[in-house]
Amino acid sequence: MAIDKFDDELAALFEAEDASLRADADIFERRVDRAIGRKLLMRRLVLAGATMIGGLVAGAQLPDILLQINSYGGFGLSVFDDAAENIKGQSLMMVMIGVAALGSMVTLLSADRI
Amino acid sequence: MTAKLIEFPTGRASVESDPDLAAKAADGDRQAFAELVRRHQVTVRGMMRRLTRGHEADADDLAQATFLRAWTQMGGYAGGTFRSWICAIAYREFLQRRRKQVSEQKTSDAAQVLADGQFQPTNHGAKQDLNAALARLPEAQRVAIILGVGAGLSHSEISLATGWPLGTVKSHIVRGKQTLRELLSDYGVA
Repeated sequence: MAIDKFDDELAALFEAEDASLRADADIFERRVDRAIGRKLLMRRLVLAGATMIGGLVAGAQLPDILLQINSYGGFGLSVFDDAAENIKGQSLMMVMIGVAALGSMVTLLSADRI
Repeated sequence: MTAKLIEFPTGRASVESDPDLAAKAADGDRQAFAELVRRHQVTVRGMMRRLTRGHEADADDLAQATFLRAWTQMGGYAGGTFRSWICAIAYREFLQRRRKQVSEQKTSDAAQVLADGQFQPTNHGAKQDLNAALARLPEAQRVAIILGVGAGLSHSEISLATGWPLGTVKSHIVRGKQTLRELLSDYGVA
């Protein structure tokens, strides 16, 4: 058998085998997209947590910390602005509960989105 | 002159080149990256299935890890063919996973090492014969054939992906093809 002909036949064998991978291409693409979504969400949450801890340690006001989390975390949610406005004058405990609830809500919303 | 539309299996169409999409993806455009995944997933998944000798679940895990790493390192793509760039990442992911499994096996006899066992047939006919023949090649020849014939990389691209000298790559390809020809003739495939 000529080597050129064998090259063609070998390439055809590989191609035929790969054809089966096209059948579930959509499933794999969604799988990769979800993995990227999870990675981005985790990065934002870590950043938000770091901003919160850093802000508290530095003695920043909680409304300012919330605004920074919204900015650095890239959430872009107006709910942060509203929360920052509403927590002025509240006790620290109430604020922390509110922040925890807000964090949970954002997590759930983001998880649903991905 | 109108741009030629490239049709993809999902029915979507795109006229943007891989480097253009990669530039957008580097700026955080997930749609652009999804298009790159769409275009190259068959190559990467096929490559991984052959490198793992037919372990489909392991292969798809590695393919996912490859695209995830590509997403995080997209800023490092400096032109050239996207296919060779992603295949180089895929090969490094495979080597990394295998090293990890070899390390784990030292503490657990029950562990199975990627690409160190028998080929796991998943289908019949020529597909099984091809994979069985590939499994009988020496490691370096197998990798060279998988990257060169399976993934369609040039000799110089294989050299960059593996770190082997160009002459070594050519030698592995020639010897690999010779051996495959003999093996596949035995199976009556070629």
